[in-house]
Amino acid sequence: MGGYMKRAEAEKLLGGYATGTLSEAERRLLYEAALGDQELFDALADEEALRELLAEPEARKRLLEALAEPKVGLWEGIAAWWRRPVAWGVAGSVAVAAMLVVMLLPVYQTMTRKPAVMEVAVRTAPAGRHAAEEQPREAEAGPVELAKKAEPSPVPAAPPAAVAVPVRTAPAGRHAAEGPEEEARAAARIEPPRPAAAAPAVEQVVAERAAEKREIAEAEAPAPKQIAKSGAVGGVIGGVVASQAEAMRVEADARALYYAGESKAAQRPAVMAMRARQAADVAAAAPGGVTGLRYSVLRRAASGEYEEVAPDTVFAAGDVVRLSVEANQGGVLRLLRQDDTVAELAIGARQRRVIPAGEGLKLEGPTVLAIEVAPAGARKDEKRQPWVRRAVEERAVYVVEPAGGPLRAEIALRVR
Amino acid sequence: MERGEILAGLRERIVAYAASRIARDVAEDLAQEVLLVLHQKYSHLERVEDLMPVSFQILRFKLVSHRRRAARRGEYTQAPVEEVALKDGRPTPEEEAARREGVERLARALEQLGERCRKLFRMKLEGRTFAEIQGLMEAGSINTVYTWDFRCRQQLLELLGGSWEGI
Repeated sequence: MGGYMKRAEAEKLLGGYATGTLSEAERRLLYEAALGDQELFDALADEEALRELLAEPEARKRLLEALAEPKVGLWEGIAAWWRRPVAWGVAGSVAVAAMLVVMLLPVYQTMTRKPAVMEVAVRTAPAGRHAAEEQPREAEAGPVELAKKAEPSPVPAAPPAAVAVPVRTAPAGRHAAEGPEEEARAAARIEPPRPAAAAPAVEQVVAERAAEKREIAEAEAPAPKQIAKSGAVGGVIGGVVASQAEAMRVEADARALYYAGESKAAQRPAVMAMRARQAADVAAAAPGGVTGLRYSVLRRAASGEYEEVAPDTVFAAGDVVRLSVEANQGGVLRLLRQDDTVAELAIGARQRRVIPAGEGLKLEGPTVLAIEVAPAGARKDEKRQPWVRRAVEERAVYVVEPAGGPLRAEIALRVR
Repeated sequence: MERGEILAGLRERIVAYAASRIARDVAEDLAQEVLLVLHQKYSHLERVEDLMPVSFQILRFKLVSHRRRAARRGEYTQAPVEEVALKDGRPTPEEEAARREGVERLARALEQLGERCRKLFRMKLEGRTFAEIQGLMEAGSINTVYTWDFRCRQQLLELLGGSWEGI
């Protein structure tokens, strides 16, 4: 019964073998079941033909084209939406809501009408000047008023930069008759009757305006060039390494480069489509094709099973790790630990392997691992281009060599 | 599971698999050849999840090689040895054409699948794991994704005549 259940479960994983979709635990379940079941073994052996075919980037590209969603034009999309019953429901609801707004708005305005107020735009002065203006008033004030002054004022502190803040104040009074500067000072100094929440609201507006200015200034300023290192350091989430020599201006998504040209850019959201197009451009420029590596870190759990962990995991001393690696091109793959070769093996394109094959690597302290991929036929003296890497929503890290040829990825494992 | 235990199991399975496609005595030799390669080149592999995929690759290579050898020996056709071209390791034009044809057959079959199957297969080709696919397709559990994938694979196999060999 248990064997039957295992077989039934494992059989469902067959479809993931050829496409390299299975996790390590899923692969183990499938292989162990196949070892004990001839029918499952035969099915898996037959899948090898499909796996071999899908390992070729050209074939994958063609199949992804075949699987692309059909393009729907704007008018076709609108027409299709109108054919749906829910569209009529939504349109009806919107129409009723609009009618209600038109009918009830005058009533609401009549009920909520207040005495006329004057909108005054106050240009707040720098803090120093503001404080200096407050000084004479403090000198004139009695001890009780001075004690009150020492407490935090409900009036918002002026920001360092001059920002125009609209403040609601009472209608024409004594200050209205004076000059505009005095009027402005008065508006800032005298507390008009207003709800308690008004002060924080003004503060918020000031802070938001200042933040907006900072953002605009940062966006307009030239972005600092990130200097590429000689090797890609994995395990760092986010960020794209720019070119040292500005040879590569395109900051492509490493994942898109890894699967370069395998899906239609037009069917993705704008940003993703742009990245896919950039990746396709970069891939087209590499004569031997982009060399790509996908890896993830596996940590041995208490049960002895290896589980995939995030690349920026902080490990404990004594943890044992292995790497799940896959290259987009066939060739020789080497794993080094502090520059000592730990494993070296021939690897097929898109063939996911777990290395080292035997016992995992025990971490005693911070460790730097390196994976080197030498695609079949690649020249070792080829000029190296900058690395591009990016961690995406999965736990894997993609490292690519846009110019093709050998690739080296360094993985810094943090140990506490 | 020990390496020896895994290899013994593999031998039994390979012999049975090969015997269903070629003569029994040849199947025994072929299984022996696969194990020899595993012993000579992959002695560092210990686990079933490492040994099994390599075995499938060697097995497939040996089977294809056996068929070619049989053809060259004149079991199917006779040809003077001087006219037999030496292999340079690259696919021949015939193999290349067959491969292209296979890809087209597969592409046409994929186009006939339902929307969910097409989406699932596309995500698999894009390198997504089943766990990721579960999230992206908003499936209730990963078992749901396994079941969808199993059914899609069955449909695809049926569209291809019940075997991947033709592709």
